[in-house]
Amino acid sequence: MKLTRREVLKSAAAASAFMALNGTLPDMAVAAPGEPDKWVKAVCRFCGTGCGVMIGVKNGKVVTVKGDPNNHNKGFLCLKGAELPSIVNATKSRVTRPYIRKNGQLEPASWDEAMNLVVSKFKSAIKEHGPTSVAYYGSGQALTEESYLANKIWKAGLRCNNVEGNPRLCMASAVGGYYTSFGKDEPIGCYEDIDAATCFFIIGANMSECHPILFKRVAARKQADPNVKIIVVDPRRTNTARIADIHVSFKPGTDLAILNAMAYVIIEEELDNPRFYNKYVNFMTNDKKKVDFKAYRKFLEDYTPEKAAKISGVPAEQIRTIAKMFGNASATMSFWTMGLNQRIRGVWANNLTTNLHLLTGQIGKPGATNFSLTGQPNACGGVRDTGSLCHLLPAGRMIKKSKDRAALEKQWGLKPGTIAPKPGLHTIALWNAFSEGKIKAMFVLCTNPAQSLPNVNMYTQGMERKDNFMVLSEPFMDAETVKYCDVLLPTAFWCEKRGVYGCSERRYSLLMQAIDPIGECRSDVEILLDFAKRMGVDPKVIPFKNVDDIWDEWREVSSVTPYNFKGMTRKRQEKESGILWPCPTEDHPGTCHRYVRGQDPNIPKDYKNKMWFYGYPDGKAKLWMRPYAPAAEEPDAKYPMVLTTGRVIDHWHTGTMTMKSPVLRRSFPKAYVEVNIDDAKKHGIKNGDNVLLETRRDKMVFQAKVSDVCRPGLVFVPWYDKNLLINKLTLNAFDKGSKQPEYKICAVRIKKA
Amino acid sequence: MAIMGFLVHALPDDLERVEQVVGRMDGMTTYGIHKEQYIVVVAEAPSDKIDDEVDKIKELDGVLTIYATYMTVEDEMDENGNLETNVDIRKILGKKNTIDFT
Repeated sequence: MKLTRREVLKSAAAASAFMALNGTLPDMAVAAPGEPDKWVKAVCRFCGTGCGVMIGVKNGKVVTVKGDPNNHNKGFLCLKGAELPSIVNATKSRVTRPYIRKNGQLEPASWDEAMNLVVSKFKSAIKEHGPTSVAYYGSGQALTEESYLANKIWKAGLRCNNVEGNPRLCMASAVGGYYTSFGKDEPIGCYEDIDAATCFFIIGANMSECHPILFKRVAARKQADPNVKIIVVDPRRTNTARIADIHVSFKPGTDLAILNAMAYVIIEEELDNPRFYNKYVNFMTNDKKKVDFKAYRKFLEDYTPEKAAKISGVPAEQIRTIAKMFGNASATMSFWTMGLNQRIRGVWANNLTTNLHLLTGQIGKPGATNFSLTGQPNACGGVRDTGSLCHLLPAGRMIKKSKDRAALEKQWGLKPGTIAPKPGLHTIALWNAFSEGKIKAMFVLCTNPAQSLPNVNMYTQGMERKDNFMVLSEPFMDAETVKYCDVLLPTAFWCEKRGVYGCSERRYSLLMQAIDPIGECRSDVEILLDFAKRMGVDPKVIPFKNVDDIWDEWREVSSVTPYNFKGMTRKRQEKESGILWPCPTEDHPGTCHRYVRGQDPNIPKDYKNKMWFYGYPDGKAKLWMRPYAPAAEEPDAKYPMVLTTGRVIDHWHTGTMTMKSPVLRRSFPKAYVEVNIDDAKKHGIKNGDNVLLETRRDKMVFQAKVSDVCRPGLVFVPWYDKNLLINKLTLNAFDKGSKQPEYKICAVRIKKA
Repeated sequence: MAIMGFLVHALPDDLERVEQVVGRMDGMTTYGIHKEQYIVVVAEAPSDKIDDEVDKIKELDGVLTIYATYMTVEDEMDENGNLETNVDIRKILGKKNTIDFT
């Protein structure tokens, strides 16, 4: 039977659905001629789920995308992922040549002119003010090799630890949580745990909109076994909450009290697991003193369900119910993301969620794990693992530890003492310093701080100063930060380059280059290598010829640490659709559960115990006694409500990509404010009315969406819209431990405009 | 026309009815009911409209959700490889943007 080309495309579309469903192709799906010239394996450009995609290329253009049936998403994509061809082909919005700002306007320049200016500004800043006067601000969307390279250029080449990136705004509290509880960053379990869990505890995460493919897997698990329970703890009644067995709505910021009260109930109901915690857990006070279980129990007396109910507004009986569900389940899996992380008590909230797992022993067995979801495609693999933050070094090492610096200096072939011992400035301190003119030259790569920083007016005013300098490597001309940069570099986008993304579950997948960069665009690896060369960085420190050289060095660096992924050679990555670290040898399958004997290759096979939390010298995890404490800016008489921000299903981050897709643009053309029905009545607001939102920092008018999604007293605004830039209103107070800002809570007043 | 492959996840009691309704919709081809909960569907529509068409399915009684697996815009590219929907960003932003794109 001869098919027309259109029929071939249709059967290919159907075949991808069958493949996702069954893992095999039906007889009807025999498409070959007329399909794309080639299929290239990659990973979706959006959230931290890290769905595998296959990119179809015809005549040098991306024409098709389909889910990779061999990656964890088993062929499924969300609509954002399916819209990638429209976004890749949005060439009219691309930066295709370098620009230099002259008399306030960006004017075309050659690469040489642009890079010479960049280098002269960085050199003169270092000469006049020392290496701490320059900085790098990267991204959880940059490839692993890009982050590793930038980190090495700055920390080893320029001797400057001012290396930061936007993961500080989204994942730092999760890093702090894992570090303080286990002595090492990154999740213990993996996505496969979803298929074995019997209870899901979802707190501060709207998975249905922010991680739709993982949410699908959770929903499928529930459908396969109706006894599986889902608990959602969120001040908004999101679509995620709507499928839950129990939705717990609470006064924003009081979840710390709820989590402690759950621990209280778990002990009261004898659902705790002394055999586990006596062997594997140290109980720690907030001021880092080791205590016993009795002291922990005494601490929890301040958090009886009745006391927590007064703080949180959640009925005591509901707290008892969810605690019993958590503790009674044979395997409980927790998920959280920005609702816990973007808080001034973000690390504490992470610790308290982990406490429930350590108390019950719900950890290290299939389906039982504490899992932090990531917001960006390579926050984990790119920034966290390569240590591209101001206080970190690659593979979990810390700048402040002299042993860690010395070990890395040896691996990098540096003279002892090359790496500066003092951590650099964290994101908010860095942008404060830039705004004050103390940081003289900043290299911004693959991120859009003029839209994404909190209390952003402060920082855009700083970007407009004449005595500081910002170079921006950016694919899209309409990114908000383009308005403020002094030099704009045209960078290759997504499948125009090659490299690794590491998603939430420690899975590293190779994105292979599908098409050539457009115009004069170069990959960020090329740009950074050129920068290092022009800056005069020792070629022995930066000896790389291409992106694969960088990967090979990074594999070697990891190989003497518990992150060890030496077995992930390029050859193997090209064949396989992602591997989970640790993966020490080429024949190692990757690791589903860390800290578990027989699974984690860091633990000898004959180790005496089933688990070993090797992040701490005594092999024990830490259960922290973290008290409830209020938000940085609680509502008061003047600003009586709470403003929270977040994502919607069809847009991602600052919208520079998703707003290029006509479909996605039209489904949410502009930001809005979600108002509870009761609050709307009180203020005389109807659906579609204009509403003035005012915080201590700025005010702005949004169209109202009146519903029962927000609880009374709370309003929500999505942050993707550059024309209604909600971060002008948000707060830049940050967590003392993780330095992550509190985007999720600030005081606001509203009135009909 | 763009082509999209996807699965419609529907309640078991509604599956047959949903499949019939979807099959009668313009631009939709169904490929049967599978695993007692999914209908395999291929949609054909201009890429800036395809989501509206798929949204109509989401609104049907008994439909839980839709999972995309495939999207091609090959037919919408002109001979230079430009997409019809590749709008100059100035048209979206109006006169606010003063950057020279030439």
